[in-house]
Amino acid sequence: MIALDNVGLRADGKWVLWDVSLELASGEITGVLGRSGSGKTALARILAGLDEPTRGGIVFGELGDCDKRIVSVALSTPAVARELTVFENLEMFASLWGVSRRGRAREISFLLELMGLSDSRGCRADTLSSGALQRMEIARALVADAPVLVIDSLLDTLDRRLLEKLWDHLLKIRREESKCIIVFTSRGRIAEMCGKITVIHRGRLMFIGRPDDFRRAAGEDMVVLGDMADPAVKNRIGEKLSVVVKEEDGFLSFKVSNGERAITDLLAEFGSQLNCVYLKRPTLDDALDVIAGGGDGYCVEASKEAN
Amino acid sequence: MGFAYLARYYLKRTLRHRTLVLAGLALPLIGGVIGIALPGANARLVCAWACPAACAMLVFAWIWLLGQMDRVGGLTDGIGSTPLPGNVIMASRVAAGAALLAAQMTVFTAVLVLIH
Repeated sequence: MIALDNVGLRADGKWVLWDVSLELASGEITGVLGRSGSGKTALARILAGLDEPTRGGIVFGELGDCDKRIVSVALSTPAVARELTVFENLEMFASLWGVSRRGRAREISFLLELMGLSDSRGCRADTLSSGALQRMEIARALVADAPVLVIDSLLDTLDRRLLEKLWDHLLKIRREESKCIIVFTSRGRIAEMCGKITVIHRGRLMFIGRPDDFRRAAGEDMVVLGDMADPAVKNRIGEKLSVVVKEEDGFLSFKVSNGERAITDLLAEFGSQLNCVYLKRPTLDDALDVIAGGGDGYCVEASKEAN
Repeated sequence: MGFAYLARYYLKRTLRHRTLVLAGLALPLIGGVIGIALPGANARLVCAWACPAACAMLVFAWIWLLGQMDRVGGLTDGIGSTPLPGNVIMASRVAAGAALLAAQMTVFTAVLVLIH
């Protein structure tokens, strides 16, 4: 639905984004993972039509180039009229997006409930805490009836319960309205929830693919075995699974590409002799650290893997 | 429709600033009284022009300031990402200013009619 073709953005004499080529389909939640200053907000603003790319372009599929009309964006700096109440703010944006008067109040009440702002509906925006303003910004983006939804780094600060509730709603609108949802984040645990992720570092795309594939960039899974009844089993495990088993502080450990499968094999073969098995899997944050440390070297590897 | 909605919200936001509303009403009121109290037709004529001009300056300074506050606060980006074209957004701001100016002129005219 949306195709970015070699998009680049130059600001203050340096390239903030460089050669970003990406395809985003409707009915899909895509996570854009990157550290602070990696160019996430610049990309979100370009997608929302707030900034023009210096080079390259965006094609909005069958909807043509009417970019500003189809992308609803929740920005990391909340866009609120501070003199208006929470309800009035959402009502203003709903009316600007052409949401029918009849459905407006119902939809806003639902979103306020979803974002935990029901008690603040009559409060002026300038009396809200920064956390509440960020939640209101998400509600503002959701109130728009747009086929593309962009959320810029606002999920990073939500508590777990609220995040789960919101995520269920995002999955619902993705399924029912076939929305294209793009979530920008610096947290691996949020990117992990997306079906597809794009990793951005220093303005360049480093990886496009499934979170599991990206996680492998950080190394293999580590299986740790503790409290072994028979220490001699160490050699047998190594032979059976073709791994190098290390012993440290009374614990056995080995690295494999698929830890879950290794544990299943272990339990099937040595189940009676194992008292404690622990899988230590690298996170997306670990993989992001590898990219940050490895720089462009990883870019080539990741691209090969993605292809 | 978006134009009318946005203009209405600009007005609503302005009316939430009580000090500004009081200053906006006081200016034509005082201007009208001074215009009548001043001796001589020429002085009255000057006041009849100066007061509306001062009101217009106040209103459009406020609308400009509102725009700057929105830009810094991020609201400009929020409105800019909606389907409204940039010129409609600007026009709605001007329309809100014109409505405020019309209200001030009504007060000014009312003072002149009532006292004269």
